[in-house]
Amino acid sequence: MMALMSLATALDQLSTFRTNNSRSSQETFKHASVIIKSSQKIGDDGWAVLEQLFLAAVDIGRLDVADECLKQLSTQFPDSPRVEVLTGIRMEATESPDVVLQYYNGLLEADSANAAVWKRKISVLRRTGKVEKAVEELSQLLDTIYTDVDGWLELADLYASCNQYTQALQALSHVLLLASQNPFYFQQYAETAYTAGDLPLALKYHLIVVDMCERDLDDIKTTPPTGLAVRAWMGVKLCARRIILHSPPSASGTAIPKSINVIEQLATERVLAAYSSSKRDKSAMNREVVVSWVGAR
Amino acid sequence: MAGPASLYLDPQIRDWVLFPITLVMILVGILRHYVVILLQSPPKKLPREAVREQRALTRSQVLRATSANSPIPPTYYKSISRHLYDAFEAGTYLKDGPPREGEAPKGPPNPMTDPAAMDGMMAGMKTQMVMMVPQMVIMGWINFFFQGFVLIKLPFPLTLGFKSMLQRGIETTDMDVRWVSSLSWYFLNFFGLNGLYRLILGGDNSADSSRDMNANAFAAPQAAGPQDFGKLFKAEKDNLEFAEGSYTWVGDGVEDRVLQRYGKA
Amino acid sequence: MVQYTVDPQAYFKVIFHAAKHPHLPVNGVLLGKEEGSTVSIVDAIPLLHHWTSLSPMMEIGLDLAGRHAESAGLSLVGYYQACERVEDKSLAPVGERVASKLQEGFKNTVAFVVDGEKMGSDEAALIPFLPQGTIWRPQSDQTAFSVGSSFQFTAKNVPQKALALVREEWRHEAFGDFDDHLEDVTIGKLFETIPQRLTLLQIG
Repeated sequence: MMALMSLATALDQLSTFRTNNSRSSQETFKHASVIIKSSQKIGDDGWAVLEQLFLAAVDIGRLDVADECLKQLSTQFPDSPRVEVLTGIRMEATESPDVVLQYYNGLLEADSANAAVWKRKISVLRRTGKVEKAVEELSQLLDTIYTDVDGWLELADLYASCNQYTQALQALSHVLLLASQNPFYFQQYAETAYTAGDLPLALKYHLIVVDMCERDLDDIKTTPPTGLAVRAWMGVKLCARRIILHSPPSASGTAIPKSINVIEQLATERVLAAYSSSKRDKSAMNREVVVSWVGAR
Repeated sequence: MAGPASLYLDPQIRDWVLFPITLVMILVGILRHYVVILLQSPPKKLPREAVREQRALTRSQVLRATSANSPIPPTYYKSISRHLYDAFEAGTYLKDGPPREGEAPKGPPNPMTDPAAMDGMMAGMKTQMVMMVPQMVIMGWINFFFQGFVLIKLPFPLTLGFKSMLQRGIETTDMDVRWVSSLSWYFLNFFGLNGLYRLILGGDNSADSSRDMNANAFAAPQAAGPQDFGKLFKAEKDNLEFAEGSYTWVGDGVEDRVLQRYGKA
Repeated sequence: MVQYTVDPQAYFKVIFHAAKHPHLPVNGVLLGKEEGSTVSIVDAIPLLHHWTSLSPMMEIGLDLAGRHAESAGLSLVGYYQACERVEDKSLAPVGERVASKLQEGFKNTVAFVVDGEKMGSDEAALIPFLPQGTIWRPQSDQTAFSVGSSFQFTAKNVPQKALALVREEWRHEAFGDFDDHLEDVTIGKLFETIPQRLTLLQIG
């Protein structure tokens, strides 16, 4: 299989991974190895591939390959901050966290606003269980470099993992401001709000996701929901059902919509529609279960 | 029109003047490209506080950009907006911290005394020197040795308007416009070689000098460099208040929008 | 002492799930039945991988899984999770919450944490947690799945086979959980126990 894969396909695949920021390490490793083995000249792109291979190799534990990549990269770019970060990542694989932290602190002293190093430091802190310190550093980083969406997501995740859902919501609201076109983040916001116990807010955000996902559908009543919309509709259903049962208060002062019963009915219809599409035979098994869930009170 | 033998160019002029001028200019351009690369100091690393100060404005800009259809609920919007307002008011984001009580607000820093701005200016001047000096030397060389030389005859006729462009350095009124003087040849090369450099050195080269003639060494860093962030922050406060006035939440009435789409409203 | 037996199918699913998302936290529930003092775990339902610390989809997933188990004559007997960090082997607050919730429905609930360090080896990569009072503690008195332990596989060489399926056949790549299922309801044949079982047994 490896021999069959052409160099062009491998290069193509790898650059897709790079642009999509995906982390299919095993795939990457396979493709990148093809390229390195073919030993053809691939120009400037080659260094990016080498970096990619390095990260993939560390990820799947092939440190021998990683070392080889790092050696080539550091001879080519001796003082590059990017290679310095890679060196740090390689150290994280084998050295003790204290040593790595010291290394990162040294780098940060030379260039205190180097976001890549700073983030690595935060991830090491988190990994070693110093969550409070990690939160503190991450907040400082975001105070300096506000536009870092991934940083805000990480902060939200940190808070959520400590059960501090209100803070997680605050972090996520910055994500929404920075990336207001991505329904996935709205879904995360909705689920965080639900977990924080703010059901009316969660309902609103699930509806916003539905609104965003189905905005461009022409024949909305007959098209079953797909993709993120299914998840959002299920969320609507869940929230609406609980709101009707308990009419809970909202920490953010969000009002419960008057049409809550209609919304609940609509959500039921839409969830069922997702399972009664033309691919019925495949999802039939799941359908029964979902029908019984939807029907329950 | 004068007969074909009105002016006869010695082939030696072609070999010893026309080609050398062109060749020298190309080579100098390439040389300059590499000298500039050598001279370029790595981009100066800013400390955290400076980065923070520079980017503080983006916070409120991001908040304001979507305020008419904001993705975040009212309580969160208000708290962020208020927080930023207070921070701008107090100058929390300033590089040197908020101004102390009784201290006169500082004006924009003088570029001559601010070492950071001075560095930027020096770098600009250095590259500028590399641009100017060789051009001046070449021009002097041409003026000294080849003043008044006619180098080439264009193969197509031109109107009199081109006379000053093509026959610089030759003060005759009745010579055919198609003849090109040495100094004019220099200028033609000066402006026209960029395409060739791009071919040899790639798109992002620093060999082309005509571009730098337009950019003033002093104007550029001043525009991007020292800014009075204190004043900018104060101005941003008003914008924030204005945006808060036009704030609406995207979640307002979203249930009606969705229901309407399904015809259930 | 309650004995737990783990069917290869359940183990394979857990390992595939963890292998598919090595840098994300994943979790799911285990199905089985209790006969006398033996709890036999026969299947696993993989649930989440986007995030495990948020509850709505987990609630729905648990609800659906419970209903499915009921219709198949099984019950939810356990919970499993894997962390994105190899050396993290704790049943984080989330895991404890879910496991405690399951415990309300099934007394002898067990929770497993996938041991990232052992996943590449021939050993069983599951660390069992059992409740002691309200706190969940790892069962470390005896290596789980070794001879004489109260945790046993129902077949031989299960970890080796799981590893082979992941390494050689990339079986985990085609594997979908509830999160995937929510994005496309046709993938993640969550509740189809029988067909998957057959294909897996053919290899074994």
